[in-house]
Amino acid sequence: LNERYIGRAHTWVAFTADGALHTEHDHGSLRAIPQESPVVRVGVVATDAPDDSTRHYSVLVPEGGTPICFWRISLTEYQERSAITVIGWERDNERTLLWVYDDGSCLLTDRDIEEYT
Amino acid sequence: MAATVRASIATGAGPTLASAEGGAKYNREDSLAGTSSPIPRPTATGTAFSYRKTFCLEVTGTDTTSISNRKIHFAAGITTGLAMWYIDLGDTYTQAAAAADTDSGSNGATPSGYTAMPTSATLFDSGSDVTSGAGRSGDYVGVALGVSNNYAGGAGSAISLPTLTLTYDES
Repeated sequence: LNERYIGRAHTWVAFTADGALHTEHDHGSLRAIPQESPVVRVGVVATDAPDDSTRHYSVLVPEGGTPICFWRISLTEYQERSAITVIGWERDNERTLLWVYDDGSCLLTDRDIEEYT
Repeated sequence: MAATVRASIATGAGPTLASAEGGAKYNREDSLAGTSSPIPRPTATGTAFSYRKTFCLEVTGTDTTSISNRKIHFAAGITTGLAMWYIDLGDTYTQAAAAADTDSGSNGATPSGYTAMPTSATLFDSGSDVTSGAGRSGDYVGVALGVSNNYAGGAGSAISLPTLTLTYDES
């Protein structure tokens, strides 16, 4: 794994309609995936336990939907860092997000997570 | 891949950016953690303010991603008699050379232009910036502390405050 994964619990992957697998390691950002074939599924996998299937998640992107993947990262003044990996899709006024926490727990929402806190 | 980002403080005329992740001390000087100019506790009803601490996110390891939705919050409420506020300073940096506001004659007063520090992540800069270059990402955010006459915790240079957190989205 790339050294930049150190300290992060998850990394993203994406599948396009042509069956190709795209990884964060290869592209860095979803925007960098060639657009010839649309992304139909986005997922997250654990970086420290890649064989642990219980920590793999994915979301199907509906036809016409735009895939979403970002990290919500928090830094404190005491060198504490946490990153939530967020995957999902949006289409018109619809949006579905899966928030995957460092410990592997997750939350599925149709809004921004802060509307629930 | 995510860029390498840290919470930094801007000081000096330049400014100079330095990591703020070792903790800050609120005082009346342009420094991260100096102790030579403490904030006085008013001897009668009133609030004395610190100099503004100017924080920002700083990219120290570049990437092809973008950063947006910068937020700030406290981990918990603060001791009675102390209060903290923040202000979005945009792209403009001004070296801290005075207290955030003139001392007030009432306890718990708010310095002009500032907003009370929230206890849940609150947006101060939604702008999106690429991480292809090292340096500050997005707006400066100023933070100031107030000490009111009803603060009963006593003097010191290591008074505990709730943890300050900066949050951002990277994609």
